[in-house]
Amino acid sequence: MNILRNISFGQYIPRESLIHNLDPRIKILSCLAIIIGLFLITEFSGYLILGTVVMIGIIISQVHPKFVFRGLRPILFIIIFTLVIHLFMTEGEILYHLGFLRITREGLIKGLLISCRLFILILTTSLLTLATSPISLTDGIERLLSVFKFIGIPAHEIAMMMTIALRFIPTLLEETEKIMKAQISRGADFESGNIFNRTKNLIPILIPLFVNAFRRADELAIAMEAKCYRGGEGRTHFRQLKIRKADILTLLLTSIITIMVSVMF
Amino acid sequence: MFICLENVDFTYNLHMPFETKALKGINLKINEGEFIGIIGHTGCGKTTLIQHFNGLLKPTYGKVYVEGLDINERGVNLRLIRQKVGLVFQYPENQLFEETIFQEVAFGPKKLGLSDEKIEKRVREALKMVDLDYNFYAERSPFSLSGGEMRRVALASILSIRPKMLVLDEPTANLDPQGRNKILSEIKEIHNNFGITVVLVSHNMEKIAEIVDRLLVMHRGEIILDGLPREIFEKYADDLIKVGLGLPQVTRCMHELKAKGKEIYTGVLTVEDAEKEILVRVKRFNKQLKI
Repeated sequence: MNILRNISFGQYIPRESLIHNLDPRIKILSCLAIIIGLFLITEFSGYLILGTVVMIGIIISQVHPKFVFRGLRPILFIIIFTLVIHLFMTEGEILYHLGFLRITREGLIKGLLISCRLFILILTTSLLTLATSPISLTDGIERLLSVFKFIGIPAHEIAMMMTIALRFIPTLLEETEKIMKAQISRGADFESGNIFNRTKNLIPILIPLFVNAFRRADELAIAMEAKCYRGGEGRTHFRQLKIRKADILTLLLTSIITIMVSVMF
Repeated sequence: MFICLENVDFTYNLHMPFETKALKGINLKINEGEFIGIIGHTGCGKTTLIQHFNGLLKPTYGKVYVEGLDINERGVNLRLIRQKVGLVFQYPENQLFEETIFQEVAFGPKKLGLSDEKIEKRVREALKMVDLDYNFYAERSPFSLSGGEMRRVALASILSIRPKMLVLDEPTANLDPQGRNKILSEIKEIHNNFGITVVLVSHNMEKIAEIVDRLLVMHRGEIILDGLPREIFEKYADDLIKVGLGLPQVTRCMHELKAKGKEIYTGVLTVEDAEKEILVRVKRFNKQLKI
């Protein structure tokens, strides 16, 4: 019954750490730099260096590594899947025969490289969301996007939608669990049967969930209007973002390391 | 004995930073045919406790038996237990999903694999128990109903499983006084007519205390009082006030009279009882004056 509680991806863990106190814009840009680096690198040593950078970040953030790695669990399937696909689908020097399937050296290397890439990618983004409160995260996104306002990107609206979406993730999870329990009490069964039946069994969860979500959205819209919300025009911010020395240093450090690593490997 | 809890502890998010102990050393026995009320503040563990009754939650420590079956044991048929113990959650109207009320109430019996005639019989019976006219309601959409009616449909959809025990979490929350009285009197009737064991959970003891035979008071994950409602209100009024639950208004009135030096029985639950009690005292007092 606790399937839903185990999702830590996108969760925020409040701590007083250097990473937590960084400007969200800096954190987003640094992560972006690392992610771009990840896609440029083609050798293991490069991943090792970037992985170490992220691990140092995790240690500084004081977030227990258990949380970071728990976020990996749902992605594990994708990682294994890509690894297997690469193992069997790449042409090259044959290492091992498995019936009509062949494992090649090139496939093994490519698969492992991509696994490393995905692995560090998730670690990086997990660190970002674990160490940045949703509010400051969307604040940062809004500021960063507002640079592109001149080509018509509605930065404030996007940020507001994200804030609302993030805000309601825990609510929806809680509600899903409640509805599930209620339907189980009424005789529903979510644990047995084939995949077709299991999908059909989701209807008693999904319909109430949607009905409630729509109703809640309606109420939220009315409440926002009652508070005179009318979009980003002329809206000021309670939290003023300020770039400090530590921020500049962090961004410089991650960018330089990433550029160096991508050039070298 | 129908349900038996032995030293039950329950902790949410065990071994995690947000670990919270919701139940501490609960010992509880519920016999067949009882009508029990559980009261306590929001967050005192009421909802957590009742989810142990049908195996939705399993104790972190301790044992839970339903009709002698240990719910923690491997291979125990939880579906069978859930069929015996019908749990109605808070705001049950939020779990309705079918196109018609008939299908909604038939959901449970259908899952039991009953024949169509039997299902129809059960739906008719369940709707009758919550006082909804079958011919008028069966083919309507549950989403077209009022809040009180929706709640009764949700209640019927549990009753159609024919549970031996009915557990209701805050059945009167967010209803107007009329809807509240209606649903409570229906529950009382179900208990009287069908001999179903009932557990009512509420944070508000007014009305609940009037209709139940046994009252459990919970505070911070523990059962602090367990007994007849009258006894609890008579003897443990101070404890109730201390944990912030207070007393029903009539009972408080009686306690204040007693505090003013009047000799009076304080274990009353309804205005009628209080009236009777006061009149008896007045008569006695008048008699004494004559002598």
